[in-house]
This record gives sequence, structure tokens and C-alpha cells, in this order.
Amino acid sequence: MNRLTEWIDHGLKRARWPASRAARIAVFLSLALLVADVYLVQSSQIATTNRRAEAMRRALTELRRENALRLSRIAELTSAARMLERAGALGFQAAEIVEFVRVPVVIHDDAPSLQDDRRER
Amino acid sequence: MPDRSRRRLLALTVGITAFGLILIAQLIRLQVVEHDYWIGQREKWQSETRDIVPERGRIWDRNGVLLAGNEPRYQVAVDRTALTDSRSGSDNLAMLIRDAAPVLGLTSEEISQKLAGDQTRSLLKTDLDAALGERAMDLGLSWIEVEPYWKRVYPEGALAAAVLGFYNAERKGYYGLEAYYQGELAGHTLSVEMDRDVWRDPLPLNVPPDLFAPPGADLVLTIDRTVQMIVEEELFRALETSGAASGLIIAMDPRTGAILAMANAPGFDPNKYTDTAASEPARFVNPAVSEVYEPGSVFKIVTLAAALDSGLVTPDTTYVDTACLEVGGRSLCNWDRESHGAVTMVEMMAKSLNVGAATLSMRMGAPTFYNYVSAFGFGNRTGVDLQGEVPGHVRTPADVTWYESDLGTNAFGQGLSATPLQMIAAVAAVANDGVLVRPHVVKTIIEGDRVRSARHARTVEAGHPISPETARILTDVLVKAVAREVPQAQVPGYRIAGKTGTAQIPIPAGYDDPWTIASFVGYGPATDPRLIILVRLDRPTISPYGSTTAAPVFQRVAARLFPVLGIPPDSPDAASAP
Repeated sequence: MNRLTEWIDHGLKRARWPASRAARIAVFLSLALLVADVYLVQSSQIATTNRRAEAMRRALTELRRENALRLSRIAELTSAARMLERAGALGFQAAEIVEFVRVPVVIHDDAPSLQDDRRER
Repeated sequence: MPDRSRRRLLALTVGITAFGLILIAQLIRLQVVEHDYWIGQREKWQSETRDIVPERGRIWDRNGVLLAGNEPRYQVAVDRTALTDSRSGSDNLAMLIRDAAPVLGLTSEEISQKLAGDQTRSLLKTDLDAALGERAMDLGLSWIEVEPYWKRVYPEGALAAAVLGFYNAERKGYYGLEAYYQGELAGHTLSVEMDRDVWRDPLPLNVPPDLFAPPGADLVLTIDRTVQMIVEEELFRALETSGAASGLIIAMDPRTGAILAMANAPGFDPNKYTDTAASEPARFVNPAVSEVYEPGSVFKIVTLAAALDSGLVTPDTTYVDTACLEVGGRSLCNWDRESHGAVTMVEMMAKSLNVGAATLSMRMGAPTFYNYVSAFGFGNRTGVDLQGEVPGHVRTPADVTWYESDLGTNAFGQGLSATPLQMIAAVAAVANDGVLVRPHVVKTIIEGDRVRSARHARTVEAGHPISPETARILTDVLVKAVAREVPQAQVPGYRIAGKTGTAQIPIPAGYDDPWTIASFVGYGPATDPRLIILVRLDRPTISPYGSTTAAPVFQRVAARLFPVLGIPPDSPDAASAP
């Protein structure tokens, strides 16, 4: 440390600068360093954030692709032809007869009728 | 200062000045003299404009079953300039053959073939699935471009293909909904300019604000996958049993115009559209909207509707039926060439007498008759949201090609042309208390988080060709006609209104005898019609008549669809639908 101060002293003496001038230069250098530091911090933060954003966007794209693929696979596996084939293999078959039965219900006078429904349309 | 130090200082000054001058000279060379060249180099290597193609909108049936979706696929191309760059110090071609060829499933000969020519970019492989695409990316070869893209898939195969159409490799929809809603489905391709580093990765300081193009809009259809499947099954069965060359079936809700199923055979698989394009491209055409035919006796519904609505007749009005009737110098005869004496309107419809229909149009007169024909929508497009709809053609007295005999032949559906969709829409107006509604296929359009009704989805009244009273009277006539003469169209428990049609097929030199187009259009339950079905079989071989070939198909389809759609019978006690 002593050697450093000695070296600075020596430099100042050799340059024959007044102390005020040296102080101005020191302030200027400090400010320049500060500005450079702020710039570097900002730049690196922007770069980091953008890298992260890009990585997230890539992940999102990948997820979208995977979702689309799964959706398509599910649709294929549940397609009408596949379902019929699978149902047949499980022993199901088409109904030979469909019976309609009357279900006794209480019908309120104010219940909407089919005709009302059609008028509303 | 000693001389020695002075000389050193001078030498240093000269050195620094010379170095500075060299720097300034280089600066001028780079920034001024070679400015354009280096700007070009920057644009070539650092800046890249990328088209981001959005995922195409999907197509769903009314219950949320996927009918058209997208799968991620990868294509691999090679940058020829970088591949042959001698500065890389490695044999890139050998590396391509050794490392990439096995992943891409290509032989060294195939790679050599693909690299032939002098283009700067050669496509090596397309349609790679996700696993192989990722393996190609993991190779880490900077001169290989692995690009993902969306491939259109139709999980249900050929089901509803005529309605859907197809989407080709040039990113364009053809036929059906794919073409009609191309704008909505496609979304908007984004062009993004990106700066890249020496490894071609995006510069982190300049990530584009929106790397993803929003996907195209999804379509939710009125089509019901199960209904469509049943209809197609029955259509294929009908072709086998009747020996018909082709055919189609349309099922629709007469109250709203919502098309529940639209099938035609033979069809095509949109997943393999290139095969069909190479062999039989005519199969892409949807005959329900894009091909016209002479509807034949089914058209008598329109003639009788006009006669009833104009007050010319009632169901009990009789006329004396002769075997033939001369109209405009042309003899028009009944299909059986027999005279039936005094017959009512109900009998006329039940026996499908051409003379009766011609008598009605003659008594109405051309202006009245053609006004009704036009009011039912003939000669104009229905406005359905499917690509390639044609209007059909009806000659009127205003046309120079119109003859008086047309008034007679038109009454029983000959000498005019219509699409099957026009025909079913016209009969649906009778089922719908005289209100003609516009048929449609798309129920809603989903754009991001926004769900909106398609412009065609609302029930749009296209006119009131007849009064509600006339519609009900005519429905009653059609129910009686089916009950008397077409029992094969009856569905137990349901009152069915309908009409058969047997039409000759026009060719440039007259009619293509003995071939016919056999059809049946019917709806039910007659008390509250909720389903209308049109069956058309082209050139059946077992019988030329609609009553023998098309009516039983209607019966089978209706009997299966009523329970599936939850439509209760008119008389539950009598209903036992097979």
C-alpha cells in the first residue's frame, strides 16, 4: 500500500500537477467508471432477461407442439372407427331394438312447451 | 531530457501516429469504401427474416370431437454455402453422411442426389416426427437447418371429408370448410427480423417481441360425428345393396338449417389427398352443393305447395288423371303410363303422378308457378358456408330458351336443375311452418379467448315461400302419401312425411336411359319435425325407382338417428326402432 501511494506521489510530483487538477481527473474517472458500470449492469440484465424469456418461449412452443400432438393422438384413438372396433372387441354390439317408454311425470301448466320453444326461436 | 530519451519518445510518437493512420485508413475502407459490401454481409449472416406460420385453426364437431387438427413435424435442410466452406477445416459432407444420414433415414446416394444442383439450400427430408426432429437438432451441425412446421391431420380419416375439404403442403385449404374459412383458419403469418450471433442463435439483446403468431380460429361445426358416421355407414351399405355408382345423404335440422351430416360416396381421405389428386380429383367435389341434378318427383312437393298456397286446390280437390297430358306440343306421361281417373291431391302425391303435377302448374300459370319456385330458393345459392356452391338453373318465360312444355316438365322436377342442398332446404321450409332457413355447417368460431357465432350460424330466415297453414296441410298430405304408398320409409312410432323421386339423367343428347337418379326426402316426427333427410342414389342397378332403393335407406337412417338425437316418437307406444 505504501508503495502504491509512493508511486502516485511520485507520479504527481513528476507531472507537476496541482492537487485540484488531480482531484478533477479523479472525479471524472470515477464518474466514467460509474457510468460504465451502470451500462454493463443494465446490458447484462437485459441479456439475461431476454435469454430467459427466449428459453421460456421455446419451452412454451415445445409444450404447444406436445399438446397438439397429444390432442391429435387422443382424437385418433377415439375416432369413430377405432371406437367401434374396440367396442366390438369388448363384446358390445349395436342395439337391435330401442324401446321408448312413457315416464309418468307431473306437468306444470306453466312449463314451456315445444311450441313455446319454437316461437322463441 | 537526454538525447537518448528524446529519440525514444520521437520513435514512439512516430509509431503511434503510424498505427493511428493505419487504423484511420482501415476505418475509411470499411465504413466508406466497402460500406455496401459489409452491410450486405451483415444482412446475410447476422440478420434473418423469419416467417412464423401460426398453427392452423382446428375443426371440431358439435360435441367437441376433433375432426381436423395439427401435428408438429420437422423438415431438415442443408446450407450448401456453409457445408462446402473450406475454412471450417473439416469434411462436412463426410460428417453429413456419417452422422445425419442415419437419423434422416437416407442413404449416401440419396443425399448426393439431393445435393445435386447449384442452389444454396437443399431440402433433405420433410415429415419427420418429433423424436427424429429432435435427434436431428441434437446433432449440433451448424450447417443443418431443422425447422418445425405444422402438418394438418384428420383423425377421423375419410369421415365428413366432403364437408372438411383438405389442406395442402402449400399451406392452402381446398374444398369444403378448409377453403371457405381459409382466412379464419390460417391466422396471420408473422414476418420477424432477428439478429443472430456467429452460431446462428438469436442475439439475446434483440429477442423479437412476439416470436409466436397467434393460432388461426377454431371452427365448431353443426355436424355430429356420430350422426355422420351412421349416415356414411348406411350410404355405403346402400351403394352395395342397390348397385348404385354413387350417392349422397344429407341430414339437417329443418328448424335451424343446421346440417347434422353430409355424406357422399365414393369419397376420399383428406390425410391422403395426394393419392386422390393423382387418381380421381373429381372426388374432391362435394356433389351436395357443387353438382346439380334434375330432382324428379321430389319436386312435386314444391308444385303442390304452390298450388295449395295460391288457393288453387285443397288436399281433397280432384282432377281426372289421364295417362298422358299434352303441354306445349309435348306429351307428358305418368311413370306407369296408366290413367288413374279422378284422384285427390293426396293420391296424386302418393302415386307420384306426373300428369297431376303438370295439371297443377298449367292451372296455376307460369308466373305464379315460377314465383313459388324462386321463393323456395331454386335458381339461387342457398348461401351455405361450403366452398363451390352452385345456384342450379331454372328457365322461366323470360328466358329465350324456355318452352311452354317446360311448365309441365318442371312441375315434376324435370327440365330444371338444383343441388341436393337446395332440394332439402326447400322441403325443410315445409317442415318448418313455411319458413325457409339458410343451411349452415359452422356453429361457432373460436378466436383465442373469444367465442363468436359464425356469420352463418344464426338461424337466418331466407324467406317465407308458403304460409304456416299451407305447410301444415302439405305435411299432412305427405304423411298420408308415405303411409299409403311408401311403407318402406316408415319408422315405427314416428309420423314420416316424405316424397320419392325417380329422375332421368340428362346428357347432351337427351336422357341417359335406362339410368336414373333415385331419391327420397323425408322428415319427422311430423307433429314437430326435427330431422329431415335426403337420400340420393345415382344409377342404381337393382331398381330405377326411389321408392325401392332410396326410401328404405331413409328408413334405416331415420330409425338410427331419432334415438341418437334424442328425438321422441309421435306415439311412444308404437315405437320400437331397430
